[in-house]
Amino acid sequence: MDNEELLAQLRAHDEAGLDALIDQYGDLIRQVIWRYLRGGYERGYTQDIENRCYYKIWAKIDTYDAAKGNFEAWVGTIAKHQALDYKKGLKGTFQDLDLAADYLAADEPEPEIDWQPYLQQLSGQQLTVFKLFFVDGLYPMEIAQQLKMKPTAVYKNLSRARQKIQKGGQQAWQS
Amino acid sequence: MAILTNPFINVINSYNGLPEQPAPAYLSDELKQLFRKREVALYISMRQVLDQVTQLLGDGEKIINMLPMTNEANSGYATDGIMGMYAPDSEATKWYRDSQSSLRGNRLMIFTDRRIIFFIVIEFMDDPNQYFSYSYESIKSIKLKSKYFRSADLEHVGKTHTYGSYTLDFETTDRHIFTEFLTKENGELFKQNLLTIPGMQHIEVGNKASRVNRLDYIFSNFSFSFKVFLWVGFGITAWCFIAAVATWIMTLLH
Repeated sequence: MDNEELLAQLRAHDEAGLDALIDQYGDLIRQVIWRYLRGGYERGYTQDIENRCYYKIWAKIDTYDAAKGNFEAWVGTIAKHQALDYKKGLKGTFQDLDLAADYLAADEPEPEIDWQPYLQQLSGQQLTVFKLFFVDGLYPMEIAQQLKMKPTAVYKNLSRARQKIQKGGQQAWQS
Repeated sequence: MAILTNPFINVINSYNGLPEQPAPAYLSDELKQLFRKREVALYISMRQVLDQVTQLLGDGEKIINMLPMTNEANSGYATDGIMGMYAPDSEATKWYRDSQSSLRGNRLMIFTDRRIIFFIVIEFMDDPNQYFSYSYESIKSIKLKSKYFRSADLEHVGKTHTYGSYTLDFETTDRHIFTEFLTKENGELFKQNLLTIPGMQHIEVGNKASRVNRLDYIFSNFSFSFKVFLWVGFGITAWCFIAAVATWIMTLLH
């Protein structure tokens, strides 16, 4: 089934469209999720995250605009965001189900930590490497390719960034 | 879509935050893919059901967890065969019927901090008023009796392997009676809720069903009815056997 037909069926909420989506994009969705879930424990929740991706695509298909990018990239972005949300400690709760939080008995989410004071002490390159590794979840080899540097340089930047943040954290705690 | 293992319990467990169970090993890759499609379709249907459930909740009422029940794992006494028939109304329900090959089999019990909401999924999808609400205050005591069955499958031949299960029975003060056969996992979740939900702390747990009206001990007591059925059946069989033997002996004597 070509993308035009698939999109038409998904927009019509036709079951055949959902089946085709799983057949044609199931592997892509799983690959994107596994890129961000590295441990065996986290991957034990793969199907749950996949289900959330399929639901998002099913429910939000009308918001897809072909002029802004191809369908594959849109699906990949949804899978990436779902995987990252899951990693942020939302698994096992109802907080990421799009149900109003007032109806859910889950614990209150922890307040967001303001990382800015800690990250300020990093140099430009260290900050870029740090964010790509910890926020975007890229492997050091991928960061090296993206920034056109040697993998050893990536490790060195990460190590120095960690040391600086540790020192900064201790100073902040002592003060 | 062909009937395969029912994914209802898996899907509800994923909503409860439990890790996934692998698809049965005896399924081929193609069947696993079919099962996966069925699971995804059910997940989407259940999201719509949960949206409907949130409309039922009162101010500040919160969902604690959900207990799934199916014909395959629990009882099919009132939801299988003729009792399991249903004619879907809406497009969403027709999609559920076609994708799940299921009618009244899947039931859901939702525990909030104030009450138990129980419904048959397909009926509730068609009509959001088709549900039962049992507030914890209206339940004085419950029967939660564990039972163990010795396995009779080929996998465990010669081994002492048993399957646990529970019988759940309670009557509310406004005389609604609820009886269900729970799996071991269902029973453990129910016990966990009895211990952890503050509103359920006052409920007495025992091995005997209790009824407000004494006649209900006879006419609205599945356990008693089953025993009567068993003994009457046994009596009729024994009588037929004795009559047959007596006839045979009489024939021999003549």
